[in-house]
Amino acid sequence: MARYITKRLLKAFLIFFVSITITFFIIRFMPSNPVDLLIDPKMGPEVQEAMMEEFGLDKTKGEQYIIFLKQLLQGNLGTSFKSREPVSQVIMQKLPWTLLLLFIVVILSLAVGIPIGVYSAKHRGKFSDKLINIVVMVGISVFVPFLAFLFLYLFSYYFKLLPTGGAYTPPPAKGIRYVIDVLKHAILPSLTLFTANVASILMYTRNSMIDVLEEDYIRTAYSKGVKENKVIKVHALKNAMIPTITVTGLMMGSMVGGAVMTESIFSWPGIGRLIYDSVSALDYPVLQGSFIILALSVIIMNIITDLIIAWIDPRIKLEG
Amino acid sequence: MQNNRTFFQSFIRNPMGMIGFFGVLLIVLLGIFAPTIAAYPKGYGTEILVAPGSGMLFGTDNLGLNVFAEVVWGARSSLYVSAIAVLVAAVIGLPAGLISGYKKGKIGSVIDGLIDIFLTLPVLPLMIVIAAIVGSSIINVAVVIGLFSWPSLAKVTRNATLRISEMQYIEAAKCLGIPSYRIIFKHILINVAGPVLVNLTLIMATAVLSESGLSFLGLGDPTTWSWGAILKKAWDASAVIDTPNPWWWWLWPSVFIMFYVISFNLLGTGINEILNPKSRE
Amino acid sequence: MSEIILDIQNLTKYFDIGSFGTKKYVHAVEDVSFELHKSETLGIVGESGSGKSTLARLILGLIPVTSGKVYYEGDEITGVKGKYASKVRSDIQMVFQDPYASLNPRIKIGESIAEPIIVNKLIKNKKDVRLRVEELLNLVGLQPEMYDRYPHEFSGGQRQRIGIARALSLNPKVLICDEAVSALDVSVQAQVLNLFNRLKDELNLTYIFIGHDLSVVKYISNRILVMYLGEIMEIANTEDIFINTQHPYTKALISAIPEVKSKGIKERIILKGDIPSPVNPPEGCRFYSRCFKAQDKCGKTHPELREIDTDHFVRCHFSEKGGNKWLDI
Repeated sequence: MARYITKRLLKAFLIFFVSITITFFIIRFMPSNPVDLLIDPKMGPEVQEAMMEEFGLDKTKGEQYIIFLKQLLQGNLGTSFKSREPVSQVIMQKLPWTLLLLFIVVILSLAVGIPIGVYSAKHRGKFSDKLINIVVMVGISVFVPFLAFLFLYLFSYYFKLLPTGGAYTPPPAKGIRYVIDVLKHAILPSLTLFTANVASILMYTRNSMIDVLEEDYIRTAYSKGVKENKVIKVHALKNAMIPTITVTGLMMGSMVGGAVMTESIFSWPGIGRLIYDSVSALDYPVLQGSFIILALSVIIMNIITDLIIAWIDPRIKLEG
Repeated sequence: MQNNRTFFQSFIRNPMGMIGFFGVLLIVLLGIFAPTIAAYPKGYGTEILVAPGSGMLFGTDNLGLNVFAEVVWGARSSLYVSAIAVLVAAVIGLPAGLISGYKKGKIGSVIDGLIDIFLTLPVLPLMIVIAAIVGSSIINVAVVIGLFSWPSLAKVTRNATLRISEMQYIEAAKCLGIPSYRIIFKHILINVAGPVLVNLTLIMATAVLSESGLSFLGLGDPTTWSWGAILKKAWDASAVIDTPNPWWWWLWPSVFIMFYVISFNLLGTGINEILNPKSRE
Repeated sequence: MSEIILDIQNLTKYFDIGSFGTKKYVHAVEDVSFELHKSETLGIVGESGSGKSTLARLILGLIPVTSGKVYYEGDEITGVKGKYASKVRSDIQMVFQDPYASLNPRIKIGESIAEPIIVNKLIKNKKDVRLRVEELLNLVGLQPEMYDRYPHEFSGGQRQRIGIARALSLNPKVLICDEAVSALDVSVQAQVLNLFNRLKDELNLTYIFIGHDLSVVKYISNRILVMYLGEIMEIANTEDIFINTQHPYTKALISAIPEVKSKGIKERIILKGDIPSPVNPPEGCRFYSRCFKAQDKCGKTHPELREIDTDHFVRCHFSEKGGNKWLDI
């Protein structure tokens, strides 16, 4: 197992490194000079040059890359062009909001998706299963902004139950009131993301449960005692969860940055929104820093899922 | 293996596949015949935010333009984007999957590693950045989407290829002197066509979701009508929570997006069921 | 003795199944040497895991050898690549075991047979190629009209015939039949075996016939080679193998052949004990753990392959010319 972990970590490091290099150069190829956005044309050329130097934009891309790596090793993610704050600070203001949504969505998706998936597998072919299949089909086809609009329309406009946007209603309250306010604001965006994601979890759970149950029935025909059955069932269930775990890991990894649209529509101050805004503002360091965090989260998610799966099914770690 | 019925005969008997097929057909027809169905919407119309009714099937938007016409022309760009994205994904993904699945060894590992790296990259954020770089013409958007779709196609192709490569008829082909490129691009390819086709329909479906998303975020082609762009305009005009609410403006494009995606997904599911006799129904 | 067409010398194949850098080898084929004479049928018999199929692929160059050499008509062809490869390819071909997996299901059978001819540039003209394919179909007892059909439209026996036609498309001189009838029903087996014999006479072929069923191999072979766990245990003419059986393993295999009429009740030798692991083969005789005549010496010293009679080779410490009494049960 230790060997497997080591190999896995090495692979992850390699992927991380290549990822951030690729994103670095892609970002630097964005057109326009970020300094242009910050300059008042009345400023003299010396001032402009000074700004360029301050942001390191006077150097070649190669040199910029080396500086970037050096800073990264020191844990320094650079300084925002726009707000002049350290990037890590900017990101830390936004990241927790996205993580909050992620947390709620994942727990809800698993809590709802897995039981219904299992139920659907057990009752396969019957009307309830067919209905669920249709719902799944619609679920994986959904267009996120549409969902957001629908919920906004229903709950904010029509029923006037929930707020239309933001993470809280300013000014921020204190203590438990604050928490409740945030949660209230979180309902609609979480609901949107949940609806978009639960379908996959449902589908994967259902399909792998069907595979497992098929084996189970054969064994039940020849079973000799309840004990044997239970052991088989528990073990089989663990293996049936593997595709579900895989897809959850993928989901979590992609949701960190993928919630852009939801965050935009609900004005939720998360990382997705930050990325979108940074693109318009040509704020390279913030963009770069966000991508690093994104890459990190995806990789960490993948490692965790791989480890869980290897623990469940030892064959996988042997095949390396 | 394959029973007496040909693929087509089985397909016709599959309800989901047929529904999907006709859905796709409908959209294709709408896209092709867009000019004859409705005039290209531009400029200003006379009546703003009119509900659906006489003459205006889907009502009008805040510029007085016919929403139905916008949606029909949106079908055209969606098809265009999907087609190009699929083409790009296939041109890169198929050979990558086939070769890495057949050759294994070093080349296989390298391609496999590439696939893993691409799958780690955050898709939507990167698409946003790249769209900002290359500009937002409709071809660029389509190519970018294709570039992000090839890894999953390659993975599916690779897995199928790995399986087929172990078959005795492939070993026989090697023994008989059939050259590698012919084995890969003829013998193996025709046998992995099934899962590949399914994945291609999936790519077409998600391509539209991606394109609509990009257009919604303002990164799409401003010169073409796209369902996502219509939604962006509606959102910017606060149409969703406006009173009275011009629901037709944001509902119809969304419905069409769903219809498109569901049709392709059904088509893919239909094909998949036929190819897997042991399907989980 | 007729000329030697294939000379196999000390062929050895180890498969590395170690993970993470550790070395773990499966000794699939160990130091196998024999000669194949023109126009003969050499039967290779052994249970699963004996290395017979691996041996076939080593000879054809489908997998690389760990050590050893293969000579064809005097020229070395071990693991051959490049220009010379096509010459060899044409001359030595293989008929595969599984009729349901050895033909590409999506290609018409006529095209499967035509493809090697076209790719190896044996015939240029398309029409001539088609004629040749139809000729081959006739040769194996099928109708030329079947050219445009797909494999799933045929029975197992017919598919094997198609496989044979395909192997013959390159006009080979040597055919290696790897369990070519093992997947067929018994009644069909006889038909295909007879086809093999007929083709051998008509086309002047030489065969290596691999199987696990000694009664089938006996029917078709002039000489028989017995393999166990990657090693040759006994080689002799078919007659000698049965009348003058030397190796205990061979004796056990023979005793397992069901016979309709027998002069007395033949006692079936049932091998007890475990098959040793091919990953760590034992130091002594590899058959030691299951041999019913094993002595202490067998577990410690590895027996060599010795010629104990004319053209009769055995790998056993206790074989000697003429003397079989020790083996009589």
